[in-house]
Amino acid sequence: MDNTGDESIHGTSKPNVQFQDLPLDVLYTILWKLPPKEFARTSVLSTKWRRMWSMCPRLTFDGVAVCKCNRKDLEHILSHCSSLVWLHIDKCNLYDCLTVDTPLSNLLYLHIELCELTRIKFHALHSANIQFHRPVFQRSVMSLLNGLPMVQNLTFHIWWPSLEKQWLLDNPLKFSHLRNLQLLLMLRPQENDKVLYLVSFLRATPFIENLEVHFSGYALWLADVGPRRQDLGQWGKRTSRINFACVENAPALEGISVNTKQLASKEFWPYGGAGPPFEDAKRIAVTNLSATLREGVKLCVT
Amino acid sequence: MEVDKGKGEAEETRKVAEADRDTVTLKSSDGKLFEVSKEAAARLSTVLAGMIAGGSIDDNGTDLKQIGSEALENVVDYCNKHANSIPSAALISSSISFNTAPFKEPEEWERKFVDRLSHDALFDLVEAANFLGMERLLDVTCHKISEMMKGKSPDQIREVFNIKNDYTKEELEEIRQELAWAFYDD
Repeated sequence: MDNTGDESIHGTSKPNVQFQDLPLDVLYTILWKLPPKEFARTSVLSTKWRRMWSMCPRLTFDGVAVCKCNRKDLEHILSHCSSLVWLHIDKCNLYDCLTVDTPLSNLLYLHIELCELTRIKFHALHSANIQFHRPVFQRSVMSLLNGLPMVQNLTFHIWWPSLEKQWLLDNPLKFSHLRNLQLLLMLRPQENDKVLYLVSFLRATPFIENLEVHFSGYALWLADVGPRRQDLGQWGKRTSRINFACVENAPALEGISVNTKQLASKEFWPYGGAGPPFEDAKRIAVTNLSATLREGVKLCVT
Repeated sequence: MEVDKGKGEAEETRKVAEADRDTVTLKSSDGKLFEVSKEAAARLSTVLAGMIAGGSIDDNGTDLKQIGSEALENVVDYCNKHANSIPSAALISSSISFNTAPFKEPEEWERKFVDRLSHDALFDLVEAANFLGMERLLDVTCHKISEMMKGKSPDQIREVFNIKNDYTKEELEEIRQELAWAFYDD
């Protein structure tokens, strides 16, 4: 650019940037927006590009905002990208199952949403945010336990699961590394009477430190519709207590805070109206938890 | 001239007490001054937000030696346009998650904003956005560049982006075989 003539308008004191001189993380931000096949094909551009795509630390596959991608391409890509740290898969139709056999030993964050997924298998993962759509609950839990045995932080978001009427008491698998769990459940009213069986899942998390449970409706939260409470034996007469039974044998638990207000209310209480009976919820939480928790565990109900 | 107007406004604003100012003045590598809404700058740029919070904003023009005037003008233009647009749902992460929000598609005005830029201006703006920690602008500009790559053959991409092919024929064939799945449509 000739800027000697009109310095005040066009003057730039440095030459323009070339495409491949852009910082590597910027190049990655550009590359991952390409369709999977084109993303991998960048290796033929020049020797500098040969391994660039496969070293990408952060990938997003978004079936709507970015581009369509099928399971095969996605699995191909993931089998090459062993440096992956952060992976987000959204609105890609994966038809039930995603398997990655190559160890993604650097992968720390996994987020899977709206992918018609009910099974998953990943190695060495610390944090995951998984959304399952219409799964059979205990089968999906088993699949998670099998597929993500190392996970430490898990956000498990379940839409319209089918709950089974059976306990999973003899399940030998455990999330023995799981420290932080957010469980978000969108349940159908007809599943209300089976909600207590969810506790099976929580029994598989012996070292849990933080637990957050969000339900779609207050009937579930109070859990007073369970016809099976007679099966619960020593766990108490008030069935709401079962929601907290998981904390009884959690040696690593430092504190529990129960917020009965509408956290995540837009997503989990979209119906308007009077809303959940917060005061009841608060009373039940205090009564049951203070009797259940071992000494030294902080309890905060708000 | 847009630039001169920016200068005039900057001088005008300098007379106002610091506490009352709702804009900040930025100075490009070639010494031009630009005025930008403080609120928008802090919201859109992590670097500027840090400077504003840390009090290292210079009333006489905060030096941004790495950014040329053309790129800085675009940055400021983007911030001001953004300040005027209704805060979009795309930028507010409502999801409860351990992870950060994913990419959201550019909005119509953002598309128009980057579409009018030349290649050089676009790359300079990408670099400026990266330097200033402007995640959204970086996303929007990078999205534009990836759109420019989409559907193109390797030869076309090399031509558009000025990339020199330094492979031998044999090497290229080797890659094609290694990544056969990527070179054939299903």
